[in-house]
Amino acid sequence: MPTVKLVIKEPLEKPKIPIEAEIISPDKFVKKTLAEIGELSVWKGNREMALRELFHLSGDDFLGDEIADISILLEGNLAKLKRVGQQMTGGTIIINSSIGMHVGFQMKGGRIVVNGDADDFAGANMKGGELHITGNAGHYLGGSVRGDWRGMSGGKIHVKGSVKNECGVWMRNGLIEIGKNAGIFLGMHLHRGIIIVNGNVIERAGAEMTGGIIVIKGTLKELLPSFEFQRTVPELTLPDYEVIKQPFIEYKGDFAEKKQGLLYVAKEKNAHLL
Amino acid sequence: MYDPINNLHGERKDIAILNSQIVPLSAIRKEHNAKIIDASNLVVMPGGVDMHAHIAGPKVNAGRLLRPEDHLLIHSKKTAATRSGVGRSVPSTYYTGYAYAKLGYTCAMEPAMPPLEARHTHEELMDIPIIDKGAYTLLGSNWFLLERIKEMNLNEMSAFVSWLLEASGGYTIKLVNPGGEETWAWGKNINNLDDKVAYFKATPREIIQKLARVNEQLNLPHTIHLHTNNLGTPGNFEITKETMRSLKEVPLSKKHKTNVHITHVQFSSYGGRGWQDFRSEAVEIAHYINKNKHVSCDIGQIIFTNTTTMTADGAWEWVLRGITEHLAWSPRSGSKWMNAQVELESCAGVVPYIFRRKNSVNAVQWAIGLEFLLSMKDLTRVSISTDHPNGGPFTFYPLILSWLMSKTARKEMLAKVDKAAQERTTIADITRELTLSEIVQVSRASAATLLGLESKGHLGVGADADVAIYDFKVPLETLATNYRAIEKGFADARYTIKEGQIVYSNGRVIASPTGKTFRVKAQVPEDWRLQIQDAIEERFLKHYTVSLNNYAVQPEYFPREEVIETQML
Repeated sequence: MPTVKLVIKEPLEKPKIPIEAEIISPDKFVKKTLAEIGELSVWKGNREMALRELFHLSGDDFLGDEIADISILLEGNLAKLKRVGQQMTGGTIIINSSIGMHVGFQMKGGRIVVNGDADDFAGANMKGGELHITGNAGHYLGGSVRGDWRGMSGGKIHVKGSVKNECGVWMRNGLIEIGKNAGIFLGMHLHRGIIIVNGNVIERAGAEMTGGIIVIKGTLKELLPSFEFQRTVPELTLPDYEVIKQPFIEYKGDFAEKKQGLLYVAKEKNAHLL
Repeated sequence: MYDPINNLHGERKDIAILNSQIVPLSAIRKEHNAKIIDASNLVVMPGGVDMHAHIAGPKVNAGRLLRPEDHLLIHSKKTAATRSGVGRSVPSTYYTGYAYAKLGYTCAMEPAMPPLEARHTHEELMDIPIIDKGAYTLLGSNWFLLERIKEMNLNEMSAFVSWLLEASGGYTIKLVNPGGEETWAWGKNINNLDDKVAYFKATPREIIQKLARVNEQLNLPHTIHLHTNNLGTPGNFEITKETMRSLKEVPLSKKHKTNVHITHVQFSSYGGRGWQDFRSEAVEIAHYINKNKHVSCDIGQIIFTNTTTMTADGAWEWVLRGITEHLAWSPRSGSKWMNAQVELESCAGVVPYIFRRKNSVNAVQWAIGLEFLLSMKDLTRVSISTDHPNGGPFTFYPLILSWLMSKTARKEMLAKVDKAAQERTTIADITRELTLSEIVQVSRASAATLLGLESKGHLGVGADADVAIYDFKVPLETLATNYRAIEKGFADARYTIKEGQIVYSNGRVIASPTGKTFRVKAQVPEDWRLQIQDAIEERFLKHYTVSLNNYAVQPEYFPREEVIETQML
């Protein structure tokens, strides 16, 4: 597997200026030599820079013709590195650090692994592929960028830690699974697709959802008044997902919208809602 | 060289440009040290003229604010000659100018300017580089006229219109859903030419007829520019026909051969009683226009793409928003949208819309625009348009030209769209293919003539030196079968020359001069204006939130202008 490793040259101070790094993607590196990759340009603020000015590059001299075979490794302080893996269709990006905003924006295929935290808009408008985040994620995970009413429309996102607000906003399809807790407005405007939260949510889950499924295995402290109790289920069967063997309370909503969304909260942890 | 106004249909010929004008070859002397452009094997035509594109003003800006996602991935960097820009269906001002230059267009008109928002419109027009521009003043629901339509005589109306055109820096009278804008302020719409406008005695028929008469009396360069009532709704071809018929008797001024311009006629040529039996009546409308010489039109072609609809017809945008609740691409609760009212004058709405090939209504709409144009016998009275950005961004004009020039292109598209396009329109039977000369006619010459811009749309001596040079890279006689070459060629001009200056060549904008703003000064006898002066002052004192003194757009808004002064006959 042809691999390229990019280690960011350690900045003297904490980086302030974002780097628009949509060029870091297997689709852009394919059929290029290491030297050619080094010449690809990124914008740091209003300055255009070559990748080699920002990164130490190492790895295979030539990355081959197959996007799917390419593996990109990123290391260093990447907190201001934005849009890594944008629109990628295949291959792998492994990030051994925390990463800036818009990682995997509009990605269509392949795999991104973030061994750290991801900033806001991770996996925004994602169409396919997989995004794994071992740390926490910011706001708008798997959501839509500003103004777009069609958010994530396919693929899978898996976060081991917690996420902040508006996770899965305007989501159209796909699966988001969160290991710990989620912020407010989980699955806002959800249209289709599944969001599973293993931890707790404080409030406003499923606001204005018009379809899709939200599953909360922990506590939902407060339910929106525009959700209607349906029934309790002993176990939960979801499309393309293993059966969750625990009892859930089923709600329908959001009645402020088209009432076709389903919200499941774990029965034993949410007696206060009944 | 293709220039139908001067009867050039592919002749090899030299033209000479001195300063900003086209001059006889003999006028060029050695000391001019002229630059020579070798255009052998290339196609030379006048710069494009777009007579209907929403490129500036409050609703365009509202569209920009409503649609940040439209700007996200489409952007161009600044260069030595250009500023940066973003956007697709609602591009930023600078980018709009560059995009037109790339297509070889040198003139575009903003067709809906509420007088109260004239400053905003002109501020944006000022920022649009390269192209010449102008704006049409909305007059379809002006309270001053609505209140007095019964008692006011034609002279007083003419005085008012002439004053308002001058105050707003407008080019012509634009009527959008006449009377309907005001009715929409009360939550209703007008469905019939003889419906009363809410709380007024006026009817759309009176508004249209009287303003058409005013237009002819004032001898304005363009006719009234009319967006018909019931636009966008199935079965509206009847009201469109009735509207045209009602104007048959309006006498023509000496300047005009027509007395009404039906704009984006595609949206006004619908048959059927609902969306289920929605069908084309383009042939019916084209038949009327072929027979009756007093009507001109632009087509308002739709493109299968993600775009932003925006119009002063707020009532229609509300209906459209409702329709989006049932469309797969839209949120289940309907698309985001905005609506606005302009006090005493107009209203507006903006709704994002995606035209889909597999949507039967969209497929029929696509066919109607082409069907209409290809059914027109007299191409001097029809111009292409997409009603940018309503039917699609203007950057798709090359695609439209390829559909018009090649039946193969249409056939291939027809195979990809919903079968309704075959069943409910005649597009499949049309074999007509426009020649390059005819393309020049419908993309430049007609628009310039209909607008009364004598220096545009042709390459004769005295014309503005606006020239577009295209390279199709294939023999011209094979273009009809090679439609991708048509699209490619028109999409990226080899040279665009604006008033004698090369502004675009070889894929780059190389100069970004300021274009002219065309506006009209219609002379009326002084005493006519005096007669209505008190009434105007009272109107502002009582009802406007601005004072009369702050209303008119001042000269600073026209850094370069060409004032067309008209005399009454």
